[in-house]
Amino acid sequence: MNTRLVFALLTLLSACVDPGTVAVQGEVEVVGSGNATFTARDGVDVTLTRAELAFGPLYLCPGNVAGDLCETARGEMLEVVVIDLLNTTPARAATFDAVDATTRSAMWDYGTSFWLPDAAPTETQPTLVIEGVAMTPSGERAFEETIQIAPQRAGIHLVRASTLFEHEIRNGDVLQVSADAENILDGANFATPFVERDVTAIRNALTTSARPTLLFNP
Amino acid sequence: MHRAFLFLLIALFATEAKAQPPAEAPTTEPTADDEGDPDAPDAPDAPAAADEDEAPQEGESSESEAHESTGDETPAESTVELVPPQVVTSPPPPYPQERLREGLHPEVVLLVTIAVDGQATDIVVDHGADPEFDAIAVATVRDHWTFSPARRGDEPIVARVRVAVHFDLPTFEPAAVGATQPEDRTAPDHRGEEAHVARTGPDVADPGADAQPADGADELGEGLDQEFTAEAEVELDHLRDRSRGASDLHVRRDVLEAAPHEEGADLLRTVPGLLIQRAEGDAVAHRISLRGFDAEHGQDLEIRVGGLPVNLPSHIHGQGYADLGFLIPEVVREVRVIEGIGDPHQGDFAVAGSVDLALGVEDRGIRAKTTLGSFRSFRQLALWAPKSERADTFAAIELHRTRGFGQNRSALGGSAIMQYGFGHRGWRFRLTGIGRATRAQLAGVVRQDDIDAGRVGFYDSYPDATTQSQNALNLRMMFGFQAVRRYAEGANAELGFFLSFDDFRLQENFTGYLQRSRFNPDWVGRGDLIEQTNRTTTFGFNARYRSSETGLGEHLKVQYELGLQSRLDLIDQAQNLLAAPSGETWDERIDASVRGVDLGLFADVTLDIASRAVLRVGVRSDALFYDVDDRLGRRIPDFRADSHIIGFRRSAFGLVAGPRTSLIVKLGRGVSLLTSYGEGYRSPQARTLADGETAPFTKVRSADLGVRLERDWIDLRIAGYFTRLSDDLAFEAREARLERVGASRRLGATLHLTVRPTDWLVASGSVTYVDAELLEPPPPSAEDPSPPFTAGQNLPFVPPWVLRLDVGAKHTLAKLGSFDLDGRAGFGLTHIAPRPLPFGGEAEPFTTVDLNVGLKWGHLGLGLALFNLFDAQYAAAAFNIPSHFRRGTPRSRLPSRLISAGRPRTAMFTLEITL
Repeated sequence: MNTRLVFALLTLLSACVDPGTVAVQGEVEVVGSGNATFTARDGVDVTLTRAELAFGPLYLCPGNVAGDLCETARGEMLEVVVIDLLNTTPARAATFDAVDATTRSAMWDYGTSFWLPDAAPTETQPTLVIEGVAMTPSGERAFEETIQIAPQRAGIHLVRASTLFEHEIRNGDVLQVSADAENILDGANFATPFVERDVTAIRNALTTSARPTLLFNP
Repeated sequence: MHRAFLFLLIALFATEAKAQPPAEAPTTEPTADDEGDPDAPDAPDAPAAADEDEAPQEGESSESEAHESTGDETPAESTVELVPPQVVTSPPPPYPQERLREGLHPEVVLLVTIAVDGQATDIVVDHGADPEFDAIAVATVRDHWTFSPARRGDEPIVARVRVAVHFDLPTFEPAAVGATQPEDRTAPDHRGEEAHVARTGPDVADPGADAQPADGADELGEGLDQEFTAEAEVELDHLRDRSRGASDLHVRRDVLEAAPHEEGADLLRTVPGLLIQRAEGDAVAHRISLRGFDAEHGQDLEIRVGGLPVNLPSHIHGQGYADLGFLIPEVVREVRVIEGIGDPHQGDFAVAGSVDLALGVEDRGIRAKTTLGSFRSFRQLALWAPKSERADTFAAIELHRTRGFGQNRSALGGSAIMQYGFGHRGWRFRLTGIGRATRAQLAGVVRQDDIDAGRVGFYDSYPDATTQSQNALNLRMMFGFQAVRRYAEGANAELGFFLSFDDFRLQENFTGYLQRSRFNPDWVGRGDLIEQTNRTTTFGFNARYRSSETGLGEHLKVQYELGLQSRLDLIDQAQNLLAAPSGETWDERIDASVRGVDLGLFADVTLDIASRAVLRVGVRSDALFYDVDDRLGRRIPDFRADSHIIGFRRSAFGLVAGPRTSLIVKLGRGVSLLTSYGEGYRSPQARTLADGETAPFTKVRSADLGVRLERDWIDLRIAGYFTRLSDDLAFEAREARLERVGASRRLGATLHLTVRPTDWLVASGSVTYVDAELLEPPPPSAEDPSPPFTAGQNLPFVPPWVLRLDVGAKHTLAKLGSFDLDGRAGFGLTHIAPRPLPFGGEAEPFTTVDLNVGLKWGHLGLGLALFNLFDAQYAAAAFNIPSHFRRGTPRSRLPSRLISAGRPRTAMFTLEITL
């Protein structure tokens, strides 16, 4: 029998293997709320001219709870993308790799992560860069702040968001990440340059009420 | 290139086979069968005198065919001048006087080596009647039968043949036995039966005649009973090896030694559909896959060596862990494989099947073998097989050392195997001792994307301390004692004891830097160097009794068997995380003791229906008891206040039973239809059991249907099989353990062909296809409430196609001085199709070819073995799990391909001295 034919048949039959899940890719797009003017703590009116939030790495998890139960993720975006909080036009920022399975929760950092086995977190991007003007009782104050928010425990991501969605990832999915500057900066004091208390307020906002919204195929 | 080579060899082989018909002498093949008369009695082809079901042993098939020829028959039509041994004189055996009243017509089948001087040596009873008849048969053949040796051209050669000695009841008075005229059967057998059958002669003896006995008849006639003191010894390995279906086969020594084998476990590559790879270094058990089962380190394959069980239940590195590293290939005499379930003797872990490696050395004498080769490999073998003893008596020791291919694969180890077989009349005893100690460095795994990016070499190991510290140690000692007693008419009983100690220690890092300490969750990223230790001490015994054949009417014979197997396992195991290179323990995962008892009971009934069909119906039941002391159980998470003292002690019990049946129908002309059905089981990992839980056995239902064509030089089997597993396991590399994945089924077929077209050439090939599917989603967990599953999803790690070819040739090339110059050559080819991996991965297919050439002249032998001749780069093991080995990069949590490299081209030179 023809040798090539035999091996062609073998190859053909081998190709019938169904491994179940397959690797897929999707896109991450970012969008801001466009909310540039708001009243912050102590009644200070803030007008932002620049507001950029670093986002990532991101992990899409199979269980309802992220964290320790997400040793094997369903999808991930290892790079850090920047969300222009003032831009309401969705922008493609990166791709994510995944397998075609269900994801229910996610966890992420904001530009700074523990890169194991390093003992200290590594900064990829500053978490938040803001510029603008604050109308304080004593007058107008222009500000420029760069804030770094790192996870506090090695190997644990800053945000572990449970029961976000129940989505079966498919090839070509678009994951939209949106965030709002006012929510993030609501607890900060713009009357003076940011101090530790302001950074803590922003940290708390970014890990709870003001964390970005993740939405598949908006 | 590899494929072309394969088909060139196949073509070459086919040409050889065609051009050179078997060097058989014509036999007394019954004409009725030739004419296709289905009612005609079976042809007395090779082993037919005993039982056609029973495979011919030890290479005697063609020889015994030859032996059945008689002196006046036509020589073989062959271009090879091969003349089988001939019976010159065969005086009948004397019938023991005190047994005359029993009216028996027993037949004793013997395996006999005919030396170059025609002397009958190394006589063992293959199938006997009872000790007394056996002793007489042995003594008669040894002392009174004469043979002319087999010849290749003009050269006499040693041959191993099977002869049958038949006892016919004399019709004269017992007192006349001494004057019986022995029948010299150098003439053709007029009754068309085996020419070598000698019988006391009702047809030749005249009680009143003053007959003059032929040579030796005087000795035979006088003092019949008291003079026959020879030991009618039992061929212990073959007492209950009757075929159990389409996938029950023996791989004989000539096939085993055709291709080169670096270690004993490599011999299993000759088994159809079996893939065996040394993926974790010399001190960790092979990974085995057999016809759709990823048997891991033995979880789905029951393995015995010399009758001693090798699998270790509840082992920390894998259920049924079976390390064959102690096995010295030179002392493996035969491999018996039952793929699927069909024999009640098959116990725990016989899920894909069972393998029994019989130990023995046919070539007697003292042998010293030194091997040097690639990667500074060195092996020294010393083997002593006393010429005065049978093949099952020997002692062998092996030491080996290697730097290993690539990086961090050095190993040093040694094995010793001793076996002493002895017996008297119907008794046969065997003492077996096996010892092994090996320590090896492990290269571990490397990520495929790192290889592709050039960050690490295919055969390299990551340079980190945590990966360079990977190593394993294995110490094992096994002792066994077997006693077999044979009674009249094929009845026999067996009793065996064994004791085993196994110490296993492994440090292995599959995932890089992902683990977090549960002892102190702030400790993270110290390297996932998992340390596993496991110590198992096992005591066990087994006993069985098989009855004689009882006739139920004219065409129905019944034989039954009852047996039990029991073992106690004392297991201590631990799993920790170690920091490297300091060796500090930075997490504790397991610290447990397990006590397990397995009590197995089986019964088997064999119905021989008109010598045309053999139906075997059996049942096996096992009860397992577990006592688990899990010292780290009920751990308190760090975020909770201490509420109790950790530790979890519990006991559990389980019971399982299932039928084992087989049916063999002889269709004539060497064709048989074979089918079998059986239900087997795999015991659970004891640590997974809750207190009082009925131990959930993994139940396997296995059915085979096939056809076998067995002729003098060809053995062809085609079998289809179906297997359903209630609860499958898959390897979870992060914790180096097995996890449940759910029910599964396999549907496949095997074609296995062995041909011996001449006495110097043997070829064995097999093609196995399997569709192994997961039937339901894996069990949900908090980590994964809905594990990915699609209907028809294939099981990970299982290659759908496995192709294996073994070809070996041995021939005398010339005569130099007073010795022949013998040459040998052989090769083995393995092709493995792409294997699915978890999360959509797929391991690349690969083909390896191993080549073996050698010369032997007198006491000296030289050999060259080339493994992986074409230097195929392949993964001995591939995984698809999250891992993180690179500093300064974000950690990936998606599964990615990890590989453990298979052996590159390796050359080994051997110098052998035989005395």
